[in-house]
Amino acid sequence: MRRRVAVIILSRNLPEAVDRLVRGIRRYDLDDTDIYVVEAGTDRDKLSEHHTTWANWPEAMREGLRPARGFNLGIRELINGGRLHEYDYLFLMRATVHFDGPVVSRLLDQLEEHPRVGIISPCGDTWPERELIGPDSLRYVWHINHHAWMLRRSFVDRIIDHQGTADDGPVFDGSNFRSYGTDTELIVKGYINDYATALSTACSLSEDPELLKSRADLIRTDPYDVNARKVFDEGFQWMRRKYGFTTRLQFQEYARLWYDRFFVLHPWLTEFRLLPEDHVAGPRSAPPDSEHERIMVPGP
Amino acid sequence: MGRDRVITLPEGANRNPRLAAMAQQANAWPSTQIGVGVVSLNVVDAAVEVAQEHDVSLMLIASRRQIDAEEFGGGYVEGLTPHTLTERVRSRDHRNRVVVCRDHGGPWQGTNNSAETSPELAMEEARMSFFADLDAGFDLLHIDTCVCPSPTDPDVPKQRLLELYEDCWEQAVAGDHAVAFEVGDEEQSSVTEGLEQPRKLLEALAERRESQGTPAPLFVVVQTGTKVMERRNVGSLSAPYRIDEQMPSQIHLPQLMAMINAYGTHLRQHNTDYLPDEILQWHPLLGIHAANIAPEYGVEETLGLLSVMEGRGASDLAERFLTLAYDTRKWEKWELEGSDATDRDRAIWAGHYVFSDPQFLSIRADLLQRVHMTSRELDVALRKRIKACLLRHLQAFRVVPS
Repeated sequence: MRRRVAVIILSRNLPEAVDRLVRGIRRYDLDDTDIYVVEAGTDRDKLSEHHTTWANWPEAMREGLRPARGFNLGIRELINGGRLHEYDYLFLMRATVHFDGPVVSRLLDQLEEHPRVGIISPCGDTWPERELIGPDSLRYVWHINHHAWMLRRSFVDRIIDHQGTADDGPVFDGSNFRSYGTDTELIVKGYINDYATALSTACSLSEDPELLKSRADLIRTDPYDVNARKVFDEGFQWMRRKYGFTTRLQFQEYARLWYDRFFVLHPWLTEFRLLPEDHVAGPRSAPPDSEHERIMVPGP
Repeated sequence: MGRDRVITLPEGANRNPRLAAMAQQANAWPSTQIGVGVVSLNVVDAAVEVAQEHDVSLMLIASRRQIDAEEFGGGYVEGLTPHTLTERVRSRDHRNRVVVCRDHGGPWQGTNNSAETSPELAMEEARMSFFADLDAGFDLLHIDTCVCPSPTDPDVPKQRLLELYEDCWEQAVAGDHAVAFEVGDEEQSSVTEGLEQPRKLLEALAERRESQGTPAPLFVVVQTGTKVMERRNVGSLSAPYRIDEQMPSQIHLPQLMAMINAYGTHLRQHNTDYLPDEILQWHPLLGIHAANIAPEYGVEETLGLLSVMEGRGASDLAERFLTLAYDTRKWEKWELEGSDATDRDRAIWAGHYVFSDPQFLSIRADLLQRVHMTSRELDVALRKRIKACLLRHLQAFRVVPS
C-alpha cells in the first residue's frame, strides 16, 4: 500500500525524543507514513536508531543544521532517492515537539477537505488562537511558526528548486542559517502561489521548553539566550538584505497582504479566515450615529 | 489591518477647538496622535513649543502624581496644579494645538491616598480632583479606577468608573465644559489581554449612554502589548517571538480595533516609550489612534542635565544629583527582575522625580554658577534635547512629515 506522507524529523542528539515521536506516529498512523530522521550534527553515540540521514561533515558537527538546512537536507535526500514524487504530503517536524494523539490522519482529513491549503500545522496547546478557531476545526492564517508543518506536495512542487542544496534550497532559504523568518517566507510563497496555510485544532502540539532551555548542551547549541540573540540578529539581517524589512511586523504585514489577496481571489473560503473580513475593511464610511460629528479633511 | 483610523469626536467634545484640531489632524492622513507625559516643566514647555513650531496637535497627559488639585498638594512637577498648568500652556499655545489631559485620574491615584484611605474618601477625592481639572479647562479626562488597595468584587472598579464618568459629565454640562473622556481600567502589562474586560466596560458605557445620555469615551485604553521597564519596552508588540499563552499582536490588534470601532470609540495605547522608529512608524497603519510616551522624556532631560554637568567639569554635581535621584528609590518600579543595571542607571530612571526637590534646585543653582549659564540657557539646552526626542516620535507617528 502506498504511503501518502513522508515524515521528516529533524534532530540533534535527542534519540529519546525521536524514539518517542516515532513510536507515537507509528502507533496511530503507521499505514500512511514513511518516517525519515535527519540527524543534524548528532554525535555518533546519540544517533537515533531510526535515523536515515546523518549530517556529519565538520561544519554540521560543529554548528548543526538548524531548521532550514535540516529540512532541506531531508527533502534533498528524497529527491536524490527518487522518492519525493511518491508522497502526497511532507510532514516536517522538530524532534522537540509532542502530539496529543493521532496527528497525521487528522491533518490528512482536513487537507483532503481543503485542497487550497498548502501548509497545515497543529495548534499549540497554549496558543490562544485555539479559542478563536474552536474545537476540531481549522482557520487559514499567515503568522504561525514552524514546529510541525505538513506540506502538500503539489505546493512543494510549485516552489521547489530541484537544483537547490541544503544550503540554498530546495524549499527553505538555508542562507538564513538559524532560520528566523524562513517559516513566514514559506507561508508567503504559499499565498503567492494560491496555497493557504492552516492552523488546525483537530490535533495539538506542545514543545518541551526544557529541551530548549536547559538541554542546550545536549543539542549542542549556544546557551538559550545567546542562541536566541543569534537567531534574531541573523534573521533580521536576512530580512533586511533580502526584502528590506527592518522589523518582524513588516514581514508579517507583507504576509498579511498576500493573505488578504487570497480571500479576494477565493471569496468562498472567507469563512476560514482567522479574523472576520470586517477586521480588514477600509475606513469607517459613516459615524455610528448622529450624535457624532465626523471631521474629515482631504489627505495630502 | 486597522484601517479604521478616523477619529470621531463624541457629543460635547466637538465644540472644543483643540480636540477638533486634533481630530482634523488625525483624519487628514494616517497618523497616531501623541500623548506627552507631564514629567517636568521643561517637557511641558518643549511640547508646547513643538506644537507651535510645527503647527501640530498633541496631548499633554498629567497623572495625579504629577499634577493635582491644590487641596491635594499639587504634584511632583513643580507643585503645579490643574489651573497653573493650563494657564502656563494656554498662554503659550497660540495655535490652540495642545490638548491638556488628565491621565489616570481616579481613586487612590493621588499621592495623598494610601492603602488606608477608605473607598468613600478615595472616590470623593477623585471626584474633587476631576472637578478641579474641569474648572481649570482640561480638555480630556482619563478615568482609571483600577487601583483597589484591598481585594474587592471584580465588578467594583467598573461601577466606580461609571459613577465618576456620570458625575464628571454632569459637572461638565453644568459648567459648559467641552470635554472628552478616556476610560480604561487595566494596569500596564507586557502582554496582550483578552477582550472581555474592555468589552464589558464599553458595553456598560453604551448602556449608560442610552439611559443617562452620557457621551461615548473618545479613547479607551486597552493593552496592546507594550510595557516600559528600565529604558526598554519589553512588551510583546515589539517582541520578535511568540509569548506563551498570549495572542500574537497581529491577531489581537485587529480584533481589538474592530471591537473599539463598534462602540464608536478609539484606541489609546499607553506605555509607548522606547520603541524603535520601525515599530512606531507602524502605529498609524495598525490603526492605533493615540499613544502615550512619558518617562522617556524625563530620562532624556536627565541625560541632558548629566551631559552638561559632566561635560563642563561639574561631575561632583552630577554625583550629587544621581545620589539624590537614587535615594528616592522611584527607580524600583522600573527595574526588571534579575536586572544587571548599575546604580547610575537606576538614578537616571528616577532623575526627573527630583527636579522640584529643594536639594536639586540647590545643585542646579551651583551648576549655573559653575558653568556660567543662565537658568534660561540651561532650560533651552534641555528643551532642545527633549524636542528632538519628541520630534522623532511625531515623525514616526506621521504627524510631522519626515
